Amino acid sequence: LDSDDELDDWRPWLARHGPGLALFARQWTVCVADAEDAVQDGFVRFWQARGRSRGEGYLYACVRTAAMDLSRSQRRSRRRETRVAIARDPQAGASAFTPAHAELAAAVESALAQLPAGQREVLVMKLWGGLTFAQIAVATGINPNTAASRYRYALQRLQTELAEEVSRD
Amino acid sequence: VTEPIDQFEAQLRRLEPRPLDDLLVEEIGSRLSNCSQPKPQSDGLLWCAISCSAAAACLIIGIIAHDSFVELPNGPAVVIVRPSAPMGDYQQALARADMRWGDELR
Repeated sequence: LDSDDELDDWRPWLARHGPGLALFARQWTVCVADAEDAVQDGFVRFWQARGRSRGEGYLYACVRTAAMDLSRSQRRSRRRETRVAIARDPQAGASAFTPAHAELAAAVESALAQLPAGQREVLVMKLWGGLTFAQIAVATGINPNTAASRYRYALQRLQTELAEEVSRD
Repeated sequence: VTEPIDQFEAQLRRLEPRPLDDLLVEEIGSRLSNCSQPKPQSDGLLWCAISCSAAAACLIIGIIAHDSFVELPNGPAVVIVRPSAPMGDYQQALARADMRWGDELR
């Protein structure tokens, strides 16, 4: 590979994982812009260390760290500004899903927000990131069996919450 | 709730996360291309200074370690025995001290 090919290689990675990563980052951030910043920081960090990387699990770990750092550093200052920003920016409160099945998507987003953080991140990585439990374990630092049981609990809880919307959709 | 969990899972999978904004993809691209640029000369100088410092530190540690591990020659132990003062030396010394005191008092 020459250097241009090597440099362009990141595009298929981002095309394949970008949407899932943005949804994943959204679980920690207050708006779309913050989630995009986290994806950007995490992806650049991942790509720079790609020689030592462990694939998709590591990519999600990088974005997770970036999102958490961002959330932590901005929590104090953002608390006051968030309401104003959301009111001004039409994208801030936008759905993390495509407009297809909009009603179900809105219900899912609301139900996701009710889940414990540990269950929510596993569910998002598995369902919309397409990661295996082993990869989720790499991303979160938990045991693959723990990841599997968190996923099952989250799915059951979501099914209970969304019974009505799912039957309607 | 009676719906099998697999079916529910499949329904959730039908929802697609929003694709990334083109602007974001461009920003990521420009950051990655900036990172791949050759590093400026100042970075080279910094690394040179760090390497020299590390080498100097290693040298100093090496010298100290070498000195502390130098073995003493295995010869016979030398015991210095001071001869005890001969009898009468103490009395003479006392007498000299008395003479000096006597002169000062006079």
